[in-house]
Amino acid sequence: MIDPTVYIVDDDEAVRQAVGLLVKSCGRKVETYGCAEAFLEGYDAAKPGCLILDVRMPGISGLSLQSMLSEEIISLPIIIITGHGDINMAVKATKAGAIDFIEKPFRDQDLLDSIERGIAKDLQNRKNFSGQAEYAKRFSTLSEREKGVLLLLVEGKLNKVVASELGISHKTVEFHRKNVMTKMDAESFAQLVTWAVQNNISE
Amino acid sequence: MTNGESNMDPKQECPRNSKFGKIIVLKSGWVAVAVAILFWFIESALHAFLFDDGSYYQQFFRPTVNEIWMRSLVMFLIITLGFCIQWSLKILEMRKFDQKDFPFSLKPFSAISDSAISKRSTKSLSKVIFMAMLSVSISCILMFGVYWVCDEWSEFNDQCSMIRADFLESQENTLKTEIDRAIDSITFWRSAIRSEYPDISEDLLKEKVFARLSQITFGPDNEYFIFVGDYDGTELVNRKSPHLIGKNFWEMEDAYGVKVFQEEIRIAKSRPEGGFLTYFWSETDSDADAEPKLSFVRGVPGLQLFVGAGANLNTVEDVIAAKESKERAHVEQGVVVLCVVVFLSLLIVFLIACWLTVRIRRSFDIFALFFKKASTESVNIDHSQMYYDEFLDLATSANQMIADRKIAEAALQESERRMREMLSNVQLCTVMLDKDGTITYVNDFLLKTTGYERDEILGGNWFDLFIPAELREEIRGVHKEVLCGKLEMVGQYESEMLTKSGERRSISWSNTLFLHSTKGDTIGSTSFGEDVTERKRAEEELREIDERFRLMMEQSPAVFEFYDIDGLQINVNKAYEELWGFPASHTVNKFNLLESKEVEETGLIDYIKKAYAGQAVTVPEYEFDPSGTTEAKGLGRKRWLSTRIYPLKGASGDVKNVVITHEDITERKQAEEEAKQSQNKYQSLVSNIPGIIYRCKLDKDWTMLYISNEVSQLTGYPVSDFINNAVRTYESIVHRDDTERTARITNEAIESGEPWELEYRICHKDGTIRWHYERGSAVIGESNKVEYLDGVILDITERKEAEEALKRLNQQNQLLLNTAGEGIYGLDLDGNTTFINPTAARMIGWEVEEIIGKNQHELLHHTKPDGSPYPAGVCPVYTTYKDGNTHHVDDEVFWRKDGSCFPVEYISTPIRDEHGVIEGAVVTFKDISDRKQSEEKQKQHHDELTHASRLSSMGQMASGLAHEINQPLCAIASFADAGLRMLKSKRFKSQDLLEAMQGVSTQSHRAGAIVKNLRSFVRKKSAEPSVVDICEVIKNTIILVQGQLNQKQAKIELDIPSEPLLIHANTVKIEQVVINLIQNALEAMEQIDPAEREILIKASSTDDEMIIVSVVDSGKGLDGIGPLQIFDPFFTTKEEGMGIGLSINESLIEEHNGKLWAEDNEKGATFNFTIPIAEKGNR
Repeated sequence: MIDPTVYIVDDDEAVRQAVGLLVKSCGRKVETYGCAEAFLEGYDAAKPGCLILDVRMPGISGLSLQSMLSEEIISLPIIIITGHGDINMAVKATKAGAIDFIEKPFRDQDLLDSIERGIAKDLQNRKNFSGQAEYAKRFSTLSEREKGVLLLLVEGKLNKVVASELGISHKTVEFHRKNVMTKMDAESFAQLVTWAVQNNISE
Repeated sequence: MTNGESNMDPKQECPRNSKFGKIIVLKSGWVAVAVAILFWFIESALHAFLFDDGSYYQQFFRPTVNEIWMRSLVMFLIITLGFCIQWSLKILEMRKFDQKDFPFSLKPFSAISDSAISKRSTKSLSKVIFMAMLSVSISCILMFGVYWVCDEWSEFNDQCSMIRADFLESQENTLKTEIDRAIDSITFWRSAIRSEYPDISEDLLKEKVFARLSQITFGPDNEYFIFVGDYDGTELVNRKSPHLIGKNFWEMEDAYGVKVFQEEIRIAKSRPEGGFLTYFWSETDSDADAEPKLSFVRGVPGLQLFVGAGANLNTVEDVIAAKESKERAHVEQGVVVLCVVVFLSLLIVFLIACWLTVRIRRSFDIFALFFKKASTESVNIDHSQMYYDEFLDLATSANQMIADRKIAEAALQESERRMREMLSNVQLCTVMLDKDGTITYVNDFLLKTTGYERDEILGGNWFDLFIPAELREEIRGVHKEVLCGKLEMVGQYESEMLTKSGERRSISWSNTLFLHSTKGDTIGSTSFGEDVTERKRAEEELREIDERFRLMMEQSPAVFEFYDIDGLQINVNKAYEELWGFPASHTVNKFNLLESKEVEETGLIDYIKKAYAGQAVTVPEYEFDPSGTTEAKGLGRKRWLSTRIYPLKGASGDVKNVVITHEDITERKQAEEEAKQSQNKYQSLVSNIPGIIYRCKLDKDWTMLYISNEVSQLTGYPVSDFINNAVRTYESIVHRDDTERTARITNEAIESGEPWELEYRICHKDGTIRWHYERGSAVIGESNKVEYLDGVILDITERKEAEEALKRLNQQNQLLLNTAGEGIYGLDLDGNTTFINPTAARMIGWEVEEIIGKNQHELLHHTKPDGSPYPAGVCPVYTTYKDGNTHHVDDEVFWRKDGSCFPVEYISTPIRDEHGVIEGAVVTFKDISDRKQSEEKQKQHHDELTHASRLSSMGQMASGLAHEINQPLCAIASFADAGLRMLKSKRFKSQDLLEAMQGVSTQSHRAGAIVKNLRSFVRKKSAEPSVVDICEVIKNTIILVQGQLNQKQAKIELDIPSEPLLIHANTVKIEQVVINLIQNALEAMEQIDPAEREILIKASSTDDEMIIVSVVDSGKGLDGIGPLQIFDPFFTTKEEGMGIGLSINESLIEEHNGKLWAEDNEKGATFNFTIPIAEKGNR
């Protein structure tokens, strides 16, 4: 697994340097950018990490950058830091998906905690994303009958009900269900259901 | 057609139309004929090819009636069209010539009138018209007739063929039916007979059956019958000709050689259902009567027999013949009607043509009559008798021609009449002779000269009558030869002529002209002769006079020079040589008066030109040196001359020659010159004196002996008035009040023998009073007594007036000084007071008298306001002496007599004498204690306001500043935290720690600088003005407002030079102005999109030693507010503003001797202010 990177985007060089040093002192990899444009140019979406973002910047502002990133497949978790925050801005940022909103000057522990949280979330996101892709691939290997059984089961119907609806024996349903579990390589049936609901596979 | 052709020859009528194409167009009628014929062939070919319904041969030689009709119609149309084009073109062409080219329109007339009629085979126009109409109508009727006949005939043919077909069909049906029935009945009869007679023999059976068959008849009139034959050709049954039964007809042939029986047997054998056979058969055995027959034959199966029946086809031909004869009669009748119609139409056409031709003929007759008459008399054509426009036009043209000819004839007659009149009135002998010298015409003058009557000499021989006998034969011969062309004519000669009385007169003959008839033969001569007898006599007399005159001139003591019109000297007399002292040959015919440089230099040329213009002129006396001229170089001597120049004019008044007469006045001139020189010496002396010089007798009336010209200027009276007291004495014009005094002083001086000086007034002639200065002295004569008084008188009026004016000015000045509200005193170069006005004295508490002559600096300017002594060396009053400038001071004090002081404003101005040298100074001063106080108060108030405004700006900055300080604080905190962490973890690079500590330090200073800047900005009392760099000030200012800029997301740009722009200013105040302007700009841009919020600050130096700073924003601009109004105090566009910001800014900038103004730029507003550049010395 690649080490997660902490991106810092702030137009004030001193702040950028200081926060960078702080994060680095905790052993995290740091990349700093003077403006949103430079960040968009420089960062690698494939790498996990989190973003510390100043709101007021010349050019693309912090909030605009946030909305741009949210359109990506995997959005970086964003920690907003600001020198003159108000409640409106905080609400806006949080609604847009920021995991934290910290006012300058801040206590180091607050920021570092947020960073850890952010990185954890990002890693989770990435794992979820790759898991879902795997499921989709496996789902395509199922036979039509197995898919039908799975769909009905996902709707929450019992094996018996499924057997009567499909006009097959109870045992056959159980056989199919076992096959599905094997083919989908699901750890539990609940996990399968969650994935199915998430991906809306009934449609 | 032929007519049109004969009249029309394109080559002759229009040579330009020689091209092939044009010929084709002009001959389009004939081309059409060719096309039509071609059409016949082509159409036939096309028809055969396209429809494939017959061979070409058939189409061409045996067309159907309809085809003939169609082709004829098309051909007729083509030909008609062709000729229409040809004729219309011809008409157009003729019209064109008529209008364009006059000779062409004359051509028809000449053709008619000339012998052309007899030469060319022309046709009468009426006949042509008649023929044309006739041919057109006949062709129309014929076309119609042919069409009608063809139509009838084709209809008849159709009917005939239909009848034939019907008949044939009915015959065939009948035959077939009957034969079929007969064959059926054969079978029937055979079986019937056999059943009745079972043992009947075959031959008998046949016989019985044949007998029955022969009974059968049918057809019209039952004339058709059945015949039977066997296959060998033997006739078995024949009702009509029983005698033929049993005969063999195998070889029988019909009229055309067809073997009838063989054919019938072939049909019967080959076609079981039977078949038809057509043949021609004669009943009478002669081929000529052979008639068409139709027979139907059918074999009887099993019996080797055939049964047939024949029908006569000629019955139908009879029907058709009957029909044809009926049709023929109908057509004949039609043709007769057609002929009648043709005849009638011919009649009508003939009548119409006659009617037309009669009208045309009548017009032509009128024209013919007109032209016949027109040659001899002037007649007009009556328009009302013309029927057609063309003739009307022709008549108008003819009338016009006659009118023109009339005018021309009248002009000719007039000129002839004038010519005759001229010849008879001319003062020349005029005679016309024929070839033999017979007189054909003489004028009155000749008769008068010779004394003959006209009748006596007309028809007589000129040479016998008028030429003296000795010349007669010679002149006659010459005349003859000239007329024959052998000799060239002599233009002018002189000869003698005899009069009736035998007197001889000299005649100058000239212009002998030949008279030519139209053929160009010489038929006589005309001579004009001038009687020159008297003239010759006069010339003789003139020559005598001339000779006399020449002698006279030659002997004259006066000098004469003659010049021709070009200025060349042509003659001189003897006196000329005596005058100049060189022979006349040097200049005669060489010297040119108008081209000589010397003459021009002497100034004579203008006079000479006048003379050449016809005016007699007298030249003022002058000196001339002939030795300078090119013609007489080095010869002759200078002479003074009195000269007259006369033009000699010809009879016409033109100047022919110019005569110059000279008189030598050299001696007189020399004497005059000497006298003049001696007088000039004295005269110039006197004239240089700017006053009157006089000498008068010492008598009771001071009789004036001499008085110089100046008197007329100084007194207005002429010199002559005073000489010998002729009109007035000089004393009489002396002012009445001064008379006595002048007389007294003069007399006293004379007695004492001293010269005297006087100033007195005189009355000038123009009424003004003049001041005169006189200085005189007595002159002691030979008698040792005073005899004359000599003196000089000068005009001193201006000096006197100036003295008066000066006196008045002094009085006024004194008055001004005494009444002025300001203190005024004067100083000399030592600093001592020369004058002081009462106001000044009162203000400083001294008496006027006490101060005069005292040193003013020691008295009232000795100490500075702060109590320190004021050295005289730096006193501005005294500086005035040194630099010559006016000094204005308003921050010093003057000291009173009682030791107190007061603030003054004073102006020290240098006093200069007339040469500009400074000789003192004038100081005016005012007590400004009150003004100082109010100024102080105002300043305090202003400072407070400024501070308030600054605090207001400060308030706006606060939030921005908070952020601005927040940034370094945040950085410091983070750096410190990072450092702490590193230390705690004990696992760090010293480089990182160093960086953290460095960061803490730098950022602390950054925060400190912001706070310091802010504090200095808020301070109420600012530091003293000093020399600062405006760029630095601007940069510092931006640090203060950076927070605000960030908050508003506005971009700021600087456009300042790298080298410092130094001003002498109070930094805080300038900072305040810049901050305020930036804040204004930010507020102005609140309404617009943050991305477009831009502020540009520019600083640069201008040419006039100023620094200009501009704050440019992209906001809403001045928005219609006057650029001056926005500086008014308490004027604001903001809801929360006090409206003092800009007005304070303005006062702050003005405090620095600068200017603040606003203007609109492309986007928003621009605020500019200027501040003078700091002088180098002040640095």
